[in-house]
Amino acid sequence: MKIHSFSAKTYDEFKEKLTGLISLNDFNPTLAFAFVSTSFPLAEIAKEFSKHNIKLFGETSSGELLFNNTESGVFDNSGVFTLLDINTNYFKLKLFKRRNSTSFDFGKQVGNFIVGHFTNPSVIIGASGLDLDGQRFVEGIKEIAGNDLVMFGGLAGDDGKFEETFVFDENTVSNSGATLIVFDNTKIKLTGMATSGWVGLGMNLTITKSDGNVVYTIDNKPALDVYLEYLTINVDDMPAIGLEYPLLIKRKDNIDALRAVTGIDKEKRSLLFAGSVPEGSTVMFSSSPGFEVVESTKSKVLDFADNNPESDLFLLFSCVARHLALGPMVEEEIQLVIDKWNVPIAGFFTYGEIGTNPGKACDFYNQTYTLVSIKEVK
Amino acid sequence: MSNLFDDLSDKIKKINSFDDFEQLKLSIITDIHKLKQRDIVKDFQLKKYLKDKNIINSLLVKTSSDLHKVIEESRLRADELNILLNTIPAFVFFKDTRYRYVLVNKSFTNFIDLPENEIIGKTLQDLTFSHLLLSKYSMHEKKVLEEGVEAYNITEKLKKDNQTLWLNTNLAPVKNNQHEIIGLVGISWDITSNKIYEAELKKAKIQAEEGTKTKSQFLANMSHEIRTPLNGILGMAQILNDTKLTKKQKDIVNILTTSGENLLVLINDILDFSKIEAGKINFINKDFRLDKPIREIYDILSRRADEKGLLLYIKFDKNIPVYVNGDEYRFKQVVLNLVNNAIKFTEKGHIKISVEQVGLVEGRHKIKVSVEDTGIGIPEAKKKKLFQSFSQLDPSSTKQYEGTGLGLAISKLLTEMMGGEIGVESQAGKGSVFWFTACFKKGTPPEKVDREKTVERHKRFTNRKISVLVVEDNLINQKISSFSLQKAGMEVTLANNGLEAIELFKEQDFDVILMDVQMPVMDGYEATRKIRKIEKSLNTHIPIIALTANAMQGDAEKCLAAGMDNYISKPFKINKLITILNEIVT
Repeated sequence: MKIHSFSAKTYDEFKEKLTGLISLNDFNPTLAFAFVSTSFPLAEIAKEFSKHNIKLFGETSSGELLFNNTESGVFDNSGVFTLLDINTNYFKLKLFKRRNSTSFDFGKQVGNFIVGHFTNPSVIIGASGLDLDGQRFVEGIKEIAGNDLVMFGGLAGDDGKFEETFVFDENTVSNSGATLIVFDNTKIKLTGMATSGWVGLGMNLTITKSDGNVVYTIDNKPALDVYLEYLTINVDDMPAIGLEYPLLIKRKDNIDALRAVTGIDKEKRSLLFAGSVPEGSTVMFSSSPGFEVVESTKSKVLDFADNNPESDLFLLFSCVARHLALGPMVEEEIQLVIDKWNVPIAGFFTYGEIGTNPGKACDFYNQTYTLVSIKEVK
Repeated sequence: MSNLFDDLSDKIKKINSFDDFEQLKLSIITDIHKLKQRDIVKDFQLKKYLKDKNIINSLLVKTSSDLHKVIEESRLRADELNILLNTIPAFVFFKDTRYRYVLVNKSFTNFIDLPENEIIGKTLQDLTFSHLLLSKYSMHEKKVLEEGVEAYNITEKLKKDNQTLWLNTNLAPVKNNQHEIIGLVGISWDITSNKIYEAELKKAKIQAEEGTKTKSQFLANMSHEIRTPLNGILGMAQILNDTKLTKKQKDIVNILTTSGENLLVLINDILDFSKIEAGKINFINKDFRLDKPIREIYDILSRRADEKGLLLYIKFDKNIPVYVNGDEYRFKQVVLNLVNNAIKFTEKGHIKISVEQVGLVEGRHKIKVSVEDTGIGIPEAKKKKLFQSFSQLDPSSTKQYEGTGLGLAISKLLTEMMGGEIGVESQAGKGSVFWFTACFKKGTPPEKVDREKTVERHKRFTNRKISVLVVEDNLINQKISSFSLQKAGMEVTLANNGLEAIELFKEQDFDVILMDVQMPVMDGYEATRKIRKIEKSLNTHIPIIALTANAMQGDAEKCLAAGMDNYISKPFKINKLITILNEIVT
């Protein structure tokens, strides 16, 4: 499996670099990953890949990252592109438009596609639309594909604007859809990990009124006002602050879930979250404990390296909150990957992650560093 | 960072020529880049720290005010609980899994008479006050902690300041969220006063029982005392009636006799009732023809019915058994009472006695006897009161309808004892149906007796002049007995007490002895025992019949135990005595 990756500040730079790669003699890319700022002309990009008969997995981002042998860095308002020369029998790529279905039903629709291909599928997935309830979406997929499904991915971003996000393939761009690659896991092996490091702060609060991923009241007070009052912030600071200081939900299964704010309703004083926040659940505010969170991520990556010493390519779906909270230091936890494996790592900052920790069912997360290794089985 | 600066400064100092610069250029640029990078990081960190500080500070402020509220609330709650705990007039304690006190309330410390800090952390054994049977009590605590089950009403006796105290304790296991037992909670209270009260109750019960016994004894004595003169009155009236009298005199004697008999019925009712109430009545179950007592009642009462112009008739259902096993006398008593009442309260019309079998319960015949009349009837509201003791419908009616008001109450008690019920259906002014049920075991007909032999014996007895020894201290009774017996053709010898009786028994031959029980010098029991002793050597047996006014239960047994053959209560009817004599002598 041959891999080439590059970043681009502009569409022209993208076009130029792509043309350069295509012209290489010994490189015939069949699949590409594109993580780009919403400032790029998405349809034009799609057309380029379509023209060269390359299947495209595209998502808009809230910051991009690429570390390979020639360049390394975390970017804003850029695009990161990874081209793979891979046997087309090893994967299926598909983009779904959500239309009017619920998050759960949409997940079921996607799940049906997954189980329709390969006896042992594994999945890279992306989804757009700020109103999507990531948790219910993943639950819908698992409802059909089962709890053993290995799946990684992220919810598309929009450069921190929280207005409109997109997924796209080589033919279509959708602001409310999902795109996925189903791999034949016997040929292409996906392994990975998801880690957060965020800690709870303050008192227990109770979600007194919610509907799916919309929270109306917390402790019988309007949800938006609770955020403004407890953190002493202005309404303009939302949802960005709500992303960096998400709610920690104390789940009954003892696996606490972090749920980041991805939207606000000033009229209804309600908050939109990236995943479900069940009515009656106990929550508390949370924060990154400081820059040592980077150390914690690094030690988890090293543990992962012990069990997965070889890889062809890494994708990273890292929460936009990590970008906000860690700033330039976010590079440290990414740099480690190329130092350790010496293979490219490409990715973007998301509005929610989907990951599978070893031995666990895949789940929907916020605030995490979700790393996935793609390795061709030889 | 300072090192990087120092390095850079050293490098710059070394630049003395353009060549030096060319040589160090890359190194200096790298250092500057590093410094810039560090600057960016530091700048971000500072901003981030500031942001975090602001956010987390306000969260902290808000949280601390929230916490303050919560703490205040829980302190108030704790105060309330403390007040509750220390106001409970019982000893409350909480122990850990090693039986050590963790928490005790004020009542507890007051009781043990030790300050709280000398109790906490100690086990019961550590506390010297204890005089409990520790092993027994500890067993309960062990069970609570090991099996997680509650233990209720553990009663312990202990001594404190030379006083005996009783404690009652309930124990319950205390579990944490993981359902693990982390200790036990107990509540004990002093039940000494209850125990004292209990003992007093027991004493009172015994006293009450003794009281009942005394009452029974009193009634027995009373009955004796009343019956003896009554016997005299009735006996003399009987004798007087047999002499030549004018019509007016005869009327007076009749009234005398009737009044006396009524008084006798009254005394018998009161006696009966108190006997049943005291539980001193025993049923004597024998096989009997079910129709016999009913027919006898018909024979006794039909004349009275006739006199009032009432039609009295019996209807036996086909399904009734011929023989049953039960107390014929008590069964008859209830029927008699109902029929008597019916006649008493009916002015015209009829009285119908119906007998039927209404069920077979565990092989026992359930017999229902109904007495229908066309009398005054009973209003609905008064039906319930009817079967209570000393109750006649209208206090004013006592004058019109004499009686003790005990009849129905006695009947109710008797039917209950016969496994039945009693009731009434009635409409005021239209008559009543009084009914009762009784359960009897199946009876067997008696073996056929040799009729000729009986007749012969009877003849033998009645053909000959019987010599009777009457032992009686009361002169009037002596006279009545003499008259009655002589009138029946018997030869009478009198003895004033037991001692005289023994002397006479030794000297003469008698066919039978009528023995009074209570007499001066020597009573009837003693005399009987002596006579039986004498007889033992002679191998003879003279019938001795007790003449007793003691109609109480137990008297009969006493007489029989003393060696008497039968007894008859005073005042006796001569016919009854003759019947008994016949039974014994033959």
